[in-house]
Amino acid sequence: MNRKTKKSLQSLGLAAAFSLLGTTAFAGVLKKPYLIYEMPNTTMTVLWQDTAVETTNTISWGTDTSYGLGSATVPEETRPGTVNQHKYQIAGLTPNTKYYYQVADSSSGLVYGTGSFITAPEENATSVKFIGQGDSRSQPFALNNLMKSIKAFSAQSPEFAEYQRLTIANGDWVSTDGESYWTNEWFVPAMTDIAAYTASTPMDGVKGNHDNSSGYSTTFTKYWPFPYPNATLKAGSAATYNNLYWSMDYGPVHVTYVDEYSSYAPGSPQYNWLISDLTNTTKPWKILVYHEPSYSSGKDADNVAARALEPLVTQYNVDLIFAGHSHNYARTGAYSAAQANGDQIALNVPHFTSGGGGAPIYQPDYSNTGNFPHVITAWPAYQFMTFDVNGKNLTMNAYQINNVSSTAIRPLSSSFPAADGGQTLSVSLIEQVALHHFTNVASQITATPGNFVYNRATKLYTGNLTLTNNGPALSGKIDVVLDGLVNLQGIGSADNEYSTASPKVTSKIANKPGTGKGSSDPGLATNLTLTNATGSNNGEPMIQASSTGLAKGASLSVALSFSNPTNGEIKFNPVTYQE
Amino acid sequence: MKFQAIKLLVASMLVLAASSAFATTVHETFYTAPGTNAYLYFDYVPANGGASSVKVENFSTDGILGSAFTSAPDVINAASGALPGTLTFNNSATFGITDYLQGITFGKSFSFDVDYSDFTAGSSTFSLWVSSDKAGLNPLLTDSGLALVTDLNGDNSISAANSAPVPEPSSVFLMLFGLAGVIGYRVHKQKGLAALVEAPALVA
Repeated sequence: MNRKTKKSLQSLGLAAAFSLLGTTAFAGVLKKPYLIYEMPNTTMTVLWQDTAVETTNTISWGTDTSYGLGSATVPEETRPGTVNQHKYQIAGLTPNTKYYYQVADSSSGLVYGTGSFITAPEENATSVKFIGQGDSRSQPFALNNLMKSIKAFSAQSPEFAEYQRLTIANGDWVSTDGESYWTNEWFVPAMTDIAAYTASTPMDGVKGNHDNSSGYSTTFTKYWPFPYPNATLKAGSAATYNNLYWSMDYGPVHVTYVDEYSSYAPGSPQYNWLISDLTNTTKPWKILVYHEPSYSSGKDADNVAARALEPLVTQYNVDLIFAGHSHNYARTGAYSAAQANGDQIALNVPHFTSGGGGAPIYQPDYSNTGNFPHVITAWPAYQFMTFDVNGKNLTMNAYQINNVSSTAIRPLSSSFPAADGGQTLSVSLIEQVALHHFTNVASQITATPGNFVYNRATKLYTGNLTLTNNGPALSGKIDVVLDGLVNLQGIGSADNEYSTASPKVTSKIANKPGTGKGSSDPGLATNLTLTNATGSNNGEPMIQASSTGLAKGASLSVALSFSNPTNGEIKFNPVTYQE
Repeated sequence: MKFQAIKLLVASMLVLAASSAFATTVHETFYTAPGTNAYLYFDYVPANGGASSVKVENFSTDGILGSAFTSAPDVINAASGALPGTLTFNNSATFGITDYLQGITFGKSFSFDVDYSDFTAGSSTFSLWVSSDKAGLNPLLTDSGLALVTDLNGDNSISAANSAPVPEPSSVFLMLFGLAGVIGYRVHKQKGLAALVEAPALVA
């Protein structure tokens, strides 16, 4: 062996050593730690996947990054089909408290990942915040940009950080229910923002059609083992399940996830379970989540079969439906039988499509004349939603994320969440929708509008509403909802980069909002903005009439002021509520 | 028989009451500073109302009428007609505001009748806005600019602000005529003409 050969061999050996070292360093963890919330509120579940059969994985946690509160050695899961997957439910935690955790391999000393979370609220909590998103599949760069933006959005303030305590997901997590899709779309090492987000935000949700394989799922249940009460193993299979429906309590909210790929027709086990679930919950706010919406703005077809659940929505006072499937934002619904136009739809219940979670964007159908009836607002955008429950009030904001790329990770705007003019990520409001659990007292209140005049100086139409209490005395705050009008003040700016229409869409409001195909009903009026509104209810403007109640037999006058740029008809139905 | 008669009397009184509130023509008079140039904006704003119309009739002034404006941007949905003739504010096409703008050099007063006989139940409002400029930014007669607001409420009652409406002689005559009919009927009935009371349409 000459000197040159010896030197070459030395180099080769060194390279091999580095290669081995590198393999060891990066092969330890394949899917970095991520969170799901399984209940109760004293727990949090952490999952991860390593690359070999390891028995020395440890998790430690605490209220700071010294992780001094507890630790455990976590062997591999024993569920069939969960090779190298680890799952550990940290228990004994305090509700509504922030914790930090670390996953490591004690034998190699490698840290597989760190994260944090806020435990679920106390059982008697009356307020909570969380996030909703859906349809992340097939575009990991877009998903990464989305989660990067939501993470930054939540980091704006301690109040906003509360949103990131939970994400509810409405399905289509990946393109296909196969191992490689999870590896290449969701758990991509280069997509560091996805890993960072899921390490610090428990994601709870339901499967979509892309997570489904002939009614069953294999890898979906492997990675998202939510506490399904009646998951059923496929005959002849070791790890393939259907009936992946379940429900959860989260503070004052009850969320029910419907598996649309197992039977949910009236009389089916899932349907009966759903009735039992909605009957037995004591939570004041109820959200129904499924993937394929009963009513959307397209372009994927509405799931007509899901309309069989609409009577349950009405009967059990479900507050809203949260779905995805069509890759855009839409709010559908009907406020009257005339608007329902014979369609089976729960009245006065918003049906949200929040499918702009990373997959290619679909253009909405605003016409209300075709296969997508009862559209109120719609917007083609990468987006997410926030949910903010506070006592009798639930406020939801739909946000567009600007400049999302499906081929590159974009930087945040220097003025985040506002745009800075560059190819950077920013966030803008699509619309805000508020719901209230107030008492409808319209049956005892006579509400008569009058004295509407046009003010030449302000270009406003002003009038008043005279309320007379024909029933028992009412205490507290009295509000009036102007039913029949779109709450235009809740509609954000019309800057849409994702529209492929020519010219690009500029209005988020559908034609004859809320109506169905062939309906003679004009739908919600869009010409009037109540300029002195004090709030809104289910997308209609609301004004506070009294903060001190209304005595028996008493009357009061509420001033109304409308912007009416088209000088169109002033028409609304005043509905009075007691807070 | 007595019970039927009482019902007939009540029915007649109700017809009278409804007539006096619904089929009313109101005379309005405004006293002005002679020589002042002004603009009169007549507006009919239907709120929660159906198709209906209001008429301005018998306009009279010792001042001088100037230009009338019947198209945008001066007016939104122009009334038909022109002063001093009859103006008709009909909302059946748009269900929105119908208006009319008239330039005028004031004399000592101007007056007109407003015929509300063809409005439908709702909360429509007829108003007169007076200003010294065509844009309506500088009010005259009142601080707000609104010289007349007549609210046609959902219960068909009429209430006027900034004005002292006086029922037209024809309305008073109709009311007296109806009352005379009722009294006449009572006298007639007492004379034994019971057949009239039996008329089923009157007591339905």
